[in-house]
Amino acid sequence: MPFKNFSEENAKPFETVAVKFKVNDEDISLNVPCHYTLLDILRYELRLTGSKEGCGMGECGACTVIMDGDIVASCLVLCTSLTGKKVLTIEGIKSDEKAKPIIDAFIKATAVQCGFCTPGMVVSSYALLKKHKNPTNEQIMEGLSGNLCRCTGYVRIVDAIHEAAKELNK
Amino acid sequence: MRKSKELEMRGKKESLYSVVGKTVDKIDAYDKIAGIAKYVDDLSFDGMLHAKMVYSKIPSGKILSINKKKALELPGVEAVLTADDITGLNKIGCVVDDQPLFAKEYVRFVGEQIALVVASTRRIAEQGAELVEIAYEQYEPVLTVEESFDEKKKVHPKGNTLCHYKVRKGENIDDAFKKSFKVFEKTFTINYQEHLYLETQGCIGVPAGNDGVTVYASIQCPFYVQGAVSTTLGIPLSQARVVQCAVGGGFGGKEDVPSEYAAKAALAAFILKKPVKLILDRGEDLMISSKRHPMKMEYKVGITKKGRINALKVKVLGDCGAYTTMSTIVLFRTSVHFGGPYVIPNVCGDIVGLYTNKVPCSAYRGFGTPQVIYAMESMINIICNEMGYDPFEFRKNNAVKKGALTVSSHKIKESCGLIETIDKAKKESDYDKRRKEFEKWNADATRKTFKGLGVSSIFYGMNLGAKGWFMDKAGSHVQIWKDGSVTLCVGNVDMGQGALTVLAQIASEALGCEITAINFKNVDTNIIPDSGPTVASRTTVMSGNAILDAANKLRQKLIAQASEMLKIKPAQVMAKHNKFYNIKDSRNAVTFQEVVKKCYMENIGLSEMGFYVSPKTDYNLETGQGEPYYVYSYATSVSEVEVDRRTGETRVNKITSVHDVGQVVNPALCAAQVEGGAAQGLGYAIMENLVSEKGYIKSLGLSTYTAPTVMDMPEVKSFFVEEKSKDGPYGAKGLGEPSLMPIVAAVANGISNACGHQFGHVPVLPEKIWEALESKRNSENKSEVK
Repeated sequence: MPFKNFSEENAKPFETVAVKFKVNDEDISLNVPCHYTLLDILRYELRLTGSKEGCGMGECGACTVIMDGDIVASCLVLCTSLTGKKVLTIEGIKSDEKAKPIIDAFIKATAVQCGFCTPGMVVSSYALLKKHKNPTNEQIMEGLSGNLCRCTGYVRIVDAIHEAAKELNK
Repeated sequence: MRKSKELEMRGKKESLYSVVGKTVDKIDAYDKIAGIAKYVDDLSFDGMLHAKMVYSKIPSGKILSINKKKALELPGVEAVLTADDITGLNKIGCVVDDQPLFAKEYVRFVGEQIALVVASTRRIAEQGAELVEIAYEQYEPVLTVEESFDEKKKVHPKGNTLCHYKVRKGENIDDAFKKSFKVFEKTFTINYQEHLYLETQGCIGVPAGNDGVTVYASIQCPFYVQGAVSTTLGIPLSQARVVQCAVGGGFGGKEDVPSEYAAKAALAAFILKKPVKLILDRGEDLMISSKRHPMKMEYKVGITKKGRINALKVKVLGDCGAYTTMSTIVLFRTSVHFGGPYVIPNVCGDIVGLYTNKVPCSAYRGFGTPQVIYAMESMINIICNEMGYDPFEFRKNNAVKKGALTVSSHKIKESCGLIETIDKAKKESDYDKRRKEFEKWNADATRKTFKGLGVSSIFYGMNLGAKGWFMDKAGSHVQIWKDGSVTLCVGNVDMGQGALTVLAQIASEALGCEITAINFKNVDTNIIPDSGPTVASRTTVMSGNAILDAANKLRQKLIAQASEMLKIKPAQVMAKHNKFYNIKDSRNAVTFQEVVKKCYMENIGLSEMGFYVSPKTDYNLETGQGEPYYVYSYATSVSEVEVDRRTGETRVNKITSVHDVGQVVNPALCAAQVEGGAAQGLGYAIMENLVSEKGYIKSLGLSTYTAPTVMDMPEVKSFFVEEKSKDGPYGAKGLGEPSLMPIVAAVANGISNACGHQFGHVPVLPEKIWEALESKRNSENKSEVK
């Protein structure tokens, strides 16, 4: 496998593997080092840096993306399990009309502080509002329970999702 | 969790200011939401290498040898740097010169950095780091403050006491206690707290020509990093450029600590002449980055018959870890705040900072004060429970107010809203009603939980104070372009708190332009003068005043031109809402853009530097008496907690916080600080438990160091009292740290009151509560049998 295709990874000690999947509706076909996770591919290969690495162990939710309709921690998805999958990241979501009320609500509610958890929060919010048109507080809390935030105390994020739901139901 | 209550700003303030005092959207919100904002790990440079640090695996010992051979043989590894490769000085200590950039002879904590492996990828660097072989002669480590205090084993040859602040006030303290009506004593202990900023530490060093380096980093203090890079590389400050990226949270953890990593990445870039990226993974960050100081706190409080505190004796042993970092200044703050915001005539305080062979502790939101506030406010809880005092009345009875003396004998001259915060907290928390309801609830044996209320009041010295005055300055650059758009640059950092938005509001108010006209440049040491650190809740005041300094110069120029255009005297010109107009007749107006255009046509420069220096105060370090800070913020919080009678599990149901922050610049951002501070404070109080055994930190992930999730959040109600400070921009004071400070004590007191048992350790974990409730049950059963 030719390794020099890789933008950042120029050395050759790792075996590579071919992956074919979709990211934000685009076909992706790549050879990547076999230890790569979905998050590595998004950030290093595709330069989609909106998904963040907060822990690398699936515990913080900053790397949350939607895979085949479900939210996943992309740092826990190994590249070898990606073939045929459809992945939606913050970069795909931000240009979706249906996400606009969520983005606007996050701004209006002052739900953003340092912003490192925010793309992951927005992805989780997008998924939860697909599932529940009129989410209760409990449903929102469950939907965000995998996303850690150290700045906001979550109060305004929950507010923002309520507001976004109202707007989406108009 | 109900919707947060926001402050409503109506009435005179609205007519006084057009932007200050109003909620405006955060100016960087969209970029962060959409994933466009660039954090350091999102940046990449051509030919960039990746670095990984090699750590000491023992808490104390001598380095016998460092073998790089195997690491260097790994394909992809470009270099292994150690102390011998340093081109400047091997020292990194910001306050005291006791810490090397790379350990050379001795290691003093698990995680101390010995070498840096630089490779083509992050993964190879990680593998290379594992291959560096280090041989040690192990020493017996110093692990507790008690061990450190008796000096049998030494962390540093000069001895284990890093600092000892003495506060002596009034008469001999034992005589004072003899005059007390009642005396209360208790010893408290408190654990570490980890900052847990969501973005781990990281930086990139990029060669700048042959003689310089540019550092991009996630930092609170660009000028600290600049200093560290200059010293360790041996290059002038003018060749050590630091550019701040978007910062994914700081909370004090990115104050001095990033210098350690930035200097290493810069050194590697300087030597290898290639960009070098160094990003910590979460486990490393938990292991080696600074924490909040654990403390042992012995308190003795005497009160008079009338419920006034007449004597306070305090001894605090602070665990500073292996190196000083900011500890001497942190514990200075401890020495000013240990008595709380109360008038106490006789005080004897000894605040001792001690080295141990553990991770260095440094700055963390509240800077050495949440610990002692917890102890002091717990003492007040004990006094109120035992004497039957109302906790609000007791605090008011002892509270500082205008004209009164603090524990440091600082006579409060202005801006003191403590009593208002106490009154408002009592009212807004519906304390009396809730207390009665809870007493009934707790007496009902069929209930599965106990409920309790906890109260805490605080004060907090603004800016860097007497001990840090030499750094307490800030610069700004304000430039108005031909089209009326504005570029601002300041030397303090927006790490999420919303500084840029608040500073844009201040600039917009002063210039009379729309806030949407304002854009920011990242903090860049090439543009802005040394503005000190982004700490101590000082950014609104310091950078705000620096912006006012520049903006007011520009305002004068604009008004001069506008007065010509309007054919009125400059004194009659009003600048507001993007217009310059006649105060008496607002129809006689020109737009901001028209005035700017005229300035450009007349070749009038619309670019100004601003500078501000914090008011100087007078303080005696020998006696701990004088004016440690120029002004204080105040707050009172009330918690409602619920404890499971059988398991000891705790839930915080509600927090009501009332803050005196002077002028509120942005109500939503202020409330957001209070909510975030509540989350971090309650995490510290009941769940965040960093486990350290024999010098090894065991909590190296987010599943073992657990911070609050959305599920743990209570309802948070925030209120503000606006006692303006004459030195703040538009009368503002700081809020970043005060938002967290009262929460630990308020929650811990709530638990103690729910359980009817005064706990003496934070975090108050379920197992400790269960033990206490179980032994209470057992003793009650025994007495029944009798």
